[in-house]
Amino acid sequence: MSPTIEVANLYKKYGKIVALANVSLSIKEGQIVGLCGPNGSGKSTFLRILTGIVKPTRGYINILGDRPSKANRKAVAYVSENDVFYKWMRVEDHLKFIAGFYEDFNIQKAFELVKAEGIGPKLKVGELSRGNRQRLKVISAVSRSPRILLLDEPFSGIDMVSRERIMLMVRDFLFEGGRTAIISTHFVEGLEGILERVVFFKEGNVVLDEICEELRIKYEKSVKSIYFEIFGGEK
Amino acid sequence: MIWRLTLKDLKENYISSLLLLGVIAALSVYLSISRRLTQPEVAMMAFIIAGLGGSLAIFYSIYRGFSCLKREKDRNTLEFLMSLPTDGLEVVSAKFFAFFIEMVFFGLILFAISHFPVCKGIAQKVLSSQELGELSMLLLYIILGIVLVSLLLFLVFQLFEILNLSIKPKGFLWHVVLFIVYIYFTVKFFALLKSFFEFLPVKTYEIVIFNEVAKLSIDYQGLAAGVLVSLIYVSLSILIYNKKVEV
Repeated sequence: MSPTIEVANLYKKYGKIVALANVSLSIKEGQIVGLCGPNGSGKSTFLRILTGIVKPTRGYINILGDRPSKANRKAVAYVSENDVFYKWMRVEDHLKFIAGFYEDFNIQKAFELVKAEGIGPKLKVGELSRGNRQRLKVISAVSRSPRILLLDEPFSGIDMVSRERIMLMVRDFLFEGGRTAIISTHFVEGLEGILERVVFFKEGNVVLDEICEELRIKYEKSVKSIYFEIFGGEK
Repeated sequence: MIWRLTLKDLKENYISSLLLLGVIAALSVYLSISRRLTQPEVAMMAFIIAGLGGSLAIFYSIYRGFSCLKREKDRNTLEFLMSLPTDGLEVVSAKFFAFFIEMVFFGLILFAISHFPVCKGIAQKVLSSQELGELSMLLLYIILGIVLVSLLLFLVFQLFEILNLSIKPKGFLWHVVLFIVYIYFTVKFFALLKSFFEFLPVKTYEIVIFNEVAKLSIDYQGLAAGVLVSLIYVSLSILIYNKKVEV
């Protein structure tokens, strides 16, 4: 079976800064992969390249049998780490706006999730707290049936309740099965039960790429502990 | 998808459009009702209002062309837009269509507003129905010209902004240099295209208004060059957006 995502010798340079240095990865269908690494290690650039919103300087990318394009973006749900939604739009209008671009967008599910999360549909996006804006972005992704889910730092800069709620939404969504997901995060401990494979990025390079279970057996440690061993910091 | 993006752009900009129209409407009402108008003053006032609207429309089109994608970039929404299943054709076209619709409405409302002094002239019985027709025709031509120039300027500045996003010049000075070079080549390019259409006439019509002869020139060469520049600049915008623009 051909991989859902395949990149080879992916290289990206911003001016003089090398964001990705010859990254090669192959991700099978249905695999849930965690991208871990400190800030500036190239995780976001990698996800942006897969989405097609950043062009690589050089390298090979194959996502669902094609280069990142308008056509295969229909099968990809991407949640950015930035505040990318239109702040002047009402929550309900924003969801309807997104729904217009995807045939698989379940607007009813989106409104149910918005209600369940306690987000006022009549509120403007700019009036929401950071945590709720983050939840809204995740809702817009999990209200679809994409073949690939790309989450860029979905837990950064938000309170513990929002983090927990987002985690539940993502977990429920991925447990439906059959979806390939790449989650870039520093929050390794919360995702250990979900992730099948972890890829550690450091200065634009892949320094570790292992199946979580094998990693735990090999090192007899949790992924979080290995993360701290590689990148330093408080255990 | 284009109409969804167009609608979004229209919703995003309706306040600035209304503000623009509000300024012109307020000035028109003030100029029209502030004093009793004589017959030549009616035409003069109408032309002043149309001219004022035109000047504001030109500034507005430059601002919109400059800011349409820059604003998206500054607010991170360009990232969102690019993650949707859209491409340059849809994004660039939608921005143009939204501005086109704004300008059509603007033109129609400016045409109506410029008739405020004319209405007063009719009420004061200093204007006959024939003179009203002639004056209206002249105003229509002027406003049509304003709308066409605004559309062209929007596309010219939109391409500049897309170039800016793709080249990412570092520092204000490089922006200024790029802008000067770009404007210089745009003017030269327009002049070159205009020279290709030398076979087309520049027709001058004589319109009798209030027993005076007014001359109205329609530059078909400029019109053809403008259409061609617009098409080329839109195509370049789409191409560069697809190939070079990234967040």
